[in-house]
Amino acid sequence: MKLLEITLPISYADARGLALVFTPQLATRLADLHAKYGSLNCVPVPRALTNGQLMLCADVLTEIEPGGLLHAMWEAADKEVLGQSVDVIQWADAVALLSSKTNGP
Amino acid sequence: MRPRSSGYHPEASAWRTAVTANGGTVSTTTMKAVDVFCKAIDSAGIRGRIWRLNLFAGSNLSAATVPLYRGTSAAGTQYGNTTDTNANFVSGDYSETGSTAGLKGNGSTKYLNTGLLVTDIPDARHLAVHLTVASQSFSTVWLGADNYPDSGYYLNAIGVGGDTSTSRQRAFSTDFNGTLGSNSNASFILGNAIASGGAASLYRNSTQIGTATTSSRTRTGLAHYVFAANRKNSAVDFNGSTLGAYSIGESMTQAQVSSFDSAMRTFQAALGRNA
Repeated sequence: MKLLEITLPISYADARGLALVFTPQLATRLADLHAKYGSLNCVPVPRALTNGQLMLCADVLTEIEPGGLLHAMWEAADKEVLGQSVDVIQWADAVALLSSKTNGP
Repeated sequence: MRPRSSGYHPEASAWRTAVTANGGTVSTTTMKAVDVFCKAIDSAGIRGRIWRLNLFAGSNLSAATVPLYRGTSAAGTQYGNTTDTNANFVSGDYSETGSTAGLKGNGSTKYLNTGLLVTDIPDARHLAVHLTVASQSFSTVWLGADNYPDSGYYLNAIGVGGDTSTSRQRAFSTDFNGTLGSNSNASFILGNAIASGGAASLYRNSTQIGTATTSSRTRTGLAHYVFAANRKNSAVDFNGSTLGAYSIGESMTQAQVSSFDSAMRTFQAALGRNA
């Protein structure tokens, strides 16, 4: 499923069950957008998956509505490109693709 | 800093000002609770032992990222980030009041960067968290940093050393075995190290639940993360607990830990949180 197929706004409960998966190149563009329009109150920091892609919990989508911590960033984004470029998968499937844990010494 | 003869404690007032500047508000109930906390810490003579502390309070997520303390006094040098940099927490992860309230991790992606470096504070130190809801997953970290494979400065949750069935904790790279219990909600956990390679103690709700001799550690210029460990500037070993507070500072005596614990749990109870 693509991001453009998600009905927005999405509830916190529903969003927590999903993950947003995208390329490192798109992650760089999102980071640039955040640097311009975001704040330290909410910084999307994607985690690497074993397939080379990156992921965020989809609950960040709860912050894109007016008044949300990522609203300005969302408004400045090319939503058509985002909608087509970001895959939405089940959270459990994304967690299974996280790099293995690195337990402390 | 001495409390005024009337009105709120100056550090409580300063915190409210910082919260407002960061987009939050503070209710009268919360303000009174923070005021009582500040006065209790001062009265116990432990304010100078605490370098950074966040009670995760205020009206919203932006408020909850504003620490109450950023140095050993309000007038002295302030350390770390002005606010805790929020990586991936969203508003739904935070609630201020109620038994399970606090800031909720997810054990996979969410953490805070305090900006307070391991090298900022003396080696004889404490690391502490208040758990309103504990997440007991294998070898996850509540708070800390390390420069793996060097031994680190962190406070771990349950099941270290490959043992997922036994309650264990780790602080300062040292195991404290079989002590916390299967239900560790409403726990103020404080790891206290006298010196690198020296004696260490672990406390739950002011009761000493373990002592050990720590391994020698190498201090590094890494910032303390919360809800994960900062390993060479990458977040690892995420924890999914709901935290009501964290504290980083210098080591404390048993009596000081008791006073700190009392102040902390009084604050948490005032907000209706598991205490």
